[in-house]
Amino acid sequence: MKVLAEFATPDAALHALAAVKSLGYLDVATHAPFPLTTEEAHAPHGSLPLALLAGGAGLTGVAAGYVVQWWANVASYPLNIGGRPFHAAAAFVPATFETLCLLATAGVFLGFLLFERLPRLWQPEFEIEGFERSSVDRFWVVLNAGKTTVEQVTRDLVPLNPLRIVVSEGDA
Amino acid sequence: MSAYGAAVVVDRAPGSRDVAPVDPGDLAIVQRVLAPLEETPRFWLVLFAICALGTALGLFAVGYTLWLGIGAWGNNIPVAWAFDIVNFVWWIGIGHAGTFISAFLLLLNQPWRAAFNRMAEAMTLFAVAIAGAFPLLHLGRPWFFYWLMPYPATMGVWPNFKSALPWDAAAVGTYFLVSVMFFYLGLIPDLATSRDRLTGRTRRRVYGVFALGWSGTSSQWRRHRAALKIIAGIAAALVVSVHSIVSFDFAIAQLSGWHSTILPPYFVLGAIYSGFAMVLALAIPVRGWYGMQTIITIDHLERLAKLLLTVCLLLTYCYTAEFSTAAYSNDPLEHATYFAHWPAGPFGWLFWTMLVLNVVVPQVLWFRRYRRNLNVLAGVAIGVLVGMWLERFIIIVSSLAQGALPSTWHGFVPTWVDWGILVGSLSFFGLCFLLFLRFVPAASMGELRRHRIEKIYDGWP
Repeated sequence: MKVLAEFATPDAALHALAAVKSLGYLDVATHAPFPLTTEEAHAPHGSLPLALLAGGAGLTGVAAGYVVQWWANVASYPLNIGGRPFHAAAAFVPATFETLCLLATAGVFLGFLLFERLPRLWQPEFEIEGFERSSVDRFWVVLNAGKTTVEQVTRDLVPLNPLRIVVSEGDA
Repeated sequence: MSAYGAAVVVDRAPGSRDVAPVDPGDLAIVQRVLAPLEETPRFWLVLFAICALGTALGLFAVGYTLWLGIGAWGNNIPVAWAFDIVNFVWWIGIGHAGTFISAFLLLLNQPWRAAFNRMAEAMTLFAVAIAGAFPLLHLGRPWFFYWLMPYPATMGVWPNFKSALPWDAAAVGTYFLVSVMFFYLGLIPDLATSRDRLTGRTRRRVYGVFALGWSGTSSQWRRHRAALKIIAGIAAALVVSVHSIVSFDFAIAQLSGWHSTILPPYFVLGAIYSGFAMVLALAIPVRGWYGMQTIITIDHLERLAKLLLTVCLLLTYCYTAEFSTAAYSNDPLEHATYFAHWPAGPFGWLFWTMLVLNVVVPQVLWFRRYRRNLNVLAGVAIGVLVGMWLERFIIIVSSLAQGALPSTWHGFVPTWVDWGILVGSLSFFGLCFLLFLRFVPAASMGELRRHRIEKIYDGWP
């Protein structure tokens, strides 16, 4: 069971976030029109998977870029221009560096979409009336209540002064 | 009860969707940024018509070139590279400032970049796309441009990777694709706000599709920031490599005036210089037309002016180093190029104009009064744009026209086709930028609002 509480100001939402965490709710998230916490705004933690993906994709780019050049100019079609070596490692550096950058960036970009399971044009929350203001001037705290009853969660949330409390059945 | 089985159990403010926001200053940012997306002002239509006309001229000139071949240009032997390559280097250089502002200033945690990073990134996209067209046209048979890519052809002919041309293709292609991903990733939250805030069913649907279903969860914001930062790190290295590779087109040749190891840093600085100038030349009118003075403030422009002056001094150092290396080399060809042909040859007057515009005029930016004077700032910026175009013209045409063999010396006169393509490229850039201003949120709302909150509430978590 998922409970969503709507707030009118970022400080109210942040206060509520801290409050429900201290009450023992573990699975808590927010919907906000801008990064609410320092962690969201500057992301010092939680970037390792993306960074690893960038590294892996980048190394693939290096290998692919170099091998293609080697294959083209050494194995498949060696071209003797002024007696220069067929395998000219220095000359292969620029294009290899570019494939490194290209694949690393593509890895991060696609990784972001994959980890966040986007694109998902419809999401259950979007059915809540007025939820579209969550990207404009409203702030939502979402908590997974688990086995706690609706009455209990409501009792916990009401003192935090939300505009609305919405309960959804199922794991939506 | 809504469609997926949700129940409102508490409603403190029924009909609260019509209630005024608690923090009007915060919402004002959204209104200010999204306003241009809902109306077509008169000046926009006039500018659009002018740019469309110029683009039509450019397309006609390109069509004429395709029909006749590049004999339609003023290029000759020995001046085999002229307007086409000058324009290529100039446009791709302009693109660099967008990445510089976005990537470097993001990595350095400079929040003021949020005022114009989106505009600068858009500028990068359009400038790089336009730049890429010039070498392709210069191929003579642009319809075979894909021969520059290593693809398994039945002919078994591969690109020669010991040549600078495939390096260019890799660099410009990569730069364009990375810029697109960087731009789009940063745009997603603003597209979601557009989806949720704008009126009109079609408009909301289109922005909705491009927003990919962004819902602003804590996880999305955190990972979004992480992804942007990593891409910024890659782009920062990439941007330095791109203009270095462009400079290799010249540096690995034997021609005096080109054959120099200082070219890569010199080109990268020149690129950033002209790019900052273009950002200023665009931001100053745009903030006035769209009433964005509260988003792009005079302080922001002043910081940009200081950066422009810094790069001006660095570039002046490069000029000095280039000339003193030539003097020190005791090579008669180098001496002739740098001390006779460039300053006193047929294009000498362009050389001196270039020095005045690039080195002398920007010195007014030492004075705070002029840094905060929009007319002076715009004038200096346009001067630098012209000056940087002339710099590339001097390097390319002036060096080629008077090479090592005096019997091959030849002048250069651009034809109407050369001018038509240059004007067309400027107009097409304007056209793209106007469409951007009309349809895309021109500043990063999430970032601006976050900085506002941090500023107002000291010690925001």
